[in-house]
Amino acid sequence: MKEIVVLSGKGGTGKTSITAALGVAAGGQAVVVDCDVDAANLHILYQPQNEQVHEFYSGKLAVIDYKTCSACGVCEEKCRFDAIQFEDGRYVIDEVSCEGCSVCSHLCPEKAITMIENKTGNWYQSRSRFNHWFVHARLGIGQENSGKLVSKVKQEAKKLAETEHIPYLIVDGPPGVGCPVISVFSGTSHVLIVTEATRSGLHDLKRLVELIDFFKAAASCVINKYDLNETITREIEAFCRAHRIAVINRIPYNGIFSAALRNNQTLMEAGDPMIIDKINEIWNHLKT
Amino acid sequence: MKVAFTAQGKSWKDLIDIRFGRAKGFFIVDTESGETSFISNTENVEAAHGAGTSAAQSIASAGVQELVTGKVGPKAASVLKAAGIRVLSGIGYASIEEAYERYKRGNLTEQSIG
Amino acid sequence: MIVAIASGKGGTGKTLLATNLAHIAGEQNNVRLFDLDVEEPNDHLFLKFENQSTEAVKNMIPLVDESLCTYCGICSQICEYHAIITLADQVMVFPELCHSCYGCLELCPENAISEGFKDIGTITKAANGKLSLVTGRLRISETATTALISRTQKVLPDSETLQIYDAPPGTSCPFIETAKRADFILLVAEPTPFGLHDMDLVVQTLRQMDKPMAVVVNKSEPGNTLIEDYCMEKNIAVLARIPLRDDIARTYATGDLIIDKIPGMRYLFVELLRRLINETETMRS
Repeated sequence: MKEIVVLSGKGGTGKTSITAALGVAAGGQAVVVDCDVDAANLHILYQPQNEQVHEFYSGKLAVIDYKTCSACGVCEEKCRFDAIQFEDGRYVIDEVSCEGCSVCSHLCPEKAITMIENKTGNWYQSRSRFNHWFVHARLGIGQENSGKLVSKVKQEAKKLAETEHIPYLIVDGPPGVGCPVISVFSGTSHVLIVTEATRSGLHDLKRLVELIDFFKAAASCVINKYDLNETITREIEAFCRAHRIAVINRIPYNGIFSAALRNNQTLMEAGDPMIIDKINEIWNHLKT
Repeated sequence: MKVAFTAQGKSWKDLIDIRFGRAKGFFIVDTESGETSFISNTENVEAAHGAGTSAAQSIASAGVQELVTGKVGPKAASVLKAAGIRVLSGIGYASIEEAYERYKRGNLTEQSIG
Repeated sequence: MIVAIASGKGGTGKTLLATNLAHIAGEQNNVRLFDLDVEEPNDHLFLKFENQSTEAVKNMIPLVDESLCTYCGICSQICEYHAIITLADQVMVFPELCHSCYGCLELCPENAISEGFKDIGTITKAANGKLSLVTGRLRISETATTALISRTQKVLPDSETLQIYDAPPGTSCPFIETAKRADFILLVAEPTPFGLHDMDLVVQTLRQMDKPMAVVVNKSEPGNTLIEDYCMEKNIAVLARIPLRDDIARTYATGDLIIDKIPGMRYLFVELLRRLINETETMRS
């Protein structure tokens, strides 16, 4: 089973639009997974039906039992994440800042602190409106995004693909280069980078490629909005060459992305043969 | 000597799990006594990071000396190397029973850890 | 006064807004812009200042004195991140996995663990006239995004200065860490289904945090009132609309400020600043 993850480093390059379209191009041959769990968007285009909802618990949260607490303050003193404050006559844990490291719980002389499982969000398994398998998740507001939910979603999608004998996984990856992206590398066969011909796009691409090199992952690249600045496009191509990343397609800066989005359509449904051809080309390339 | 197989289940007929850090568990065979045991790895299956290092620690503390698996990541590999555990990787689709046969026949390749 | 510029969705125009606004404000008053999108900081591409200094930011990792260590394994048992591994005759530390909670150091029964350090990234300070730029930049393969954001925010200006935070995208911990210390949030939203969806998530989060906010619509098109309608319903002020235009996109692509290159943009940002100050003043009284 081949797992393709679509990453961009920078937001707004067209990663989700392209991933959604690739999912359509792949037909029933791929399980599409939305691993961009913080502000997930794919479900807006895919309008999933028959969703199975699962709760997801990850990491821990410290809870103080005030009957046992002697207000000695050791927890506040030792917490490295500023998650414990003295307020209204007692020590209070800020759930949003609490990292779940358990140090306070281990150090409390009264054993008044317990660690509980933290509900981080939900994950869903469903059929998209194209009747293909679609797995996605929603991180709760203000929740930690360590990558555990990302891992979970991908694993469940993998299980599904194995059970249903589906040969590909297409993953809409998280933005940036931190925890959630690092989590998505595990088990990936190939990274498809969607970048854009802007100074910011090139800057962020370089950082993403540094991470890709760190994980020794295979990658190829699509340059979106290439005609916004052809000098930068050439710089991107030179950079990719130097890092042995094939530039497999270039897409012009085109109203079609926003027009399709505005109508809640994927690029494959927007009636533009040029973009349909390009998506099919990209998919054919990724399949091999 | 104890050899561990990354496994999807607890019996000889169950399949090998090609992953190490996130394997469902480790099927351990004592090659001298023939005794078998199973260590569950569920704690690491869903870990975002550090699954491999923790799994390596588990099998090291169980006295395992050789490991048969699909693939081992670099961090896990460094722990296994430090613990003196020989890694035989590249096993694909097979039952634990079949994998053990191949192991006994010496048909597996050692993964070199840089 | 600290104003954070945020959006749920990436690529909506935070950097565009932060850099152009900071530049305008800096023409009259002391302004410090903090680039807190530490995973992919971009502000410095648009505000190309000389006069830079960079320092490394370090976080704790455990340093094990093996002459005192008994290999009891307690450190490994309590470590929630699997960053410290105990074998029969050695202890291994994995710096990228360590979250610097100090748990192992505090709980080692032999006091065999002391503070070692790892680089998590850099903070760069640069200035031009009244405008200073502080950029946090995460070291690749490190996961300490939130910790670096918090350290970058602590590079406080000496005197009476307007502080602007260019926030990271999303609504999870990096965004929360940024918004926590802000007095006012200026949201950038794009009038698309994704833009609206993500904006709603941020608005819900900010309401929970009790933070006052206002909105700027970016990539606005005549007749498209998706964001304005939402703001009307939620009682949030819209302070400006930046149009969707090819020349704006090209100027941004090249790494230039639109107030310098696109007619009408200077006026738009001057007005926006005036309205923003108004809003923050109303909020204070």
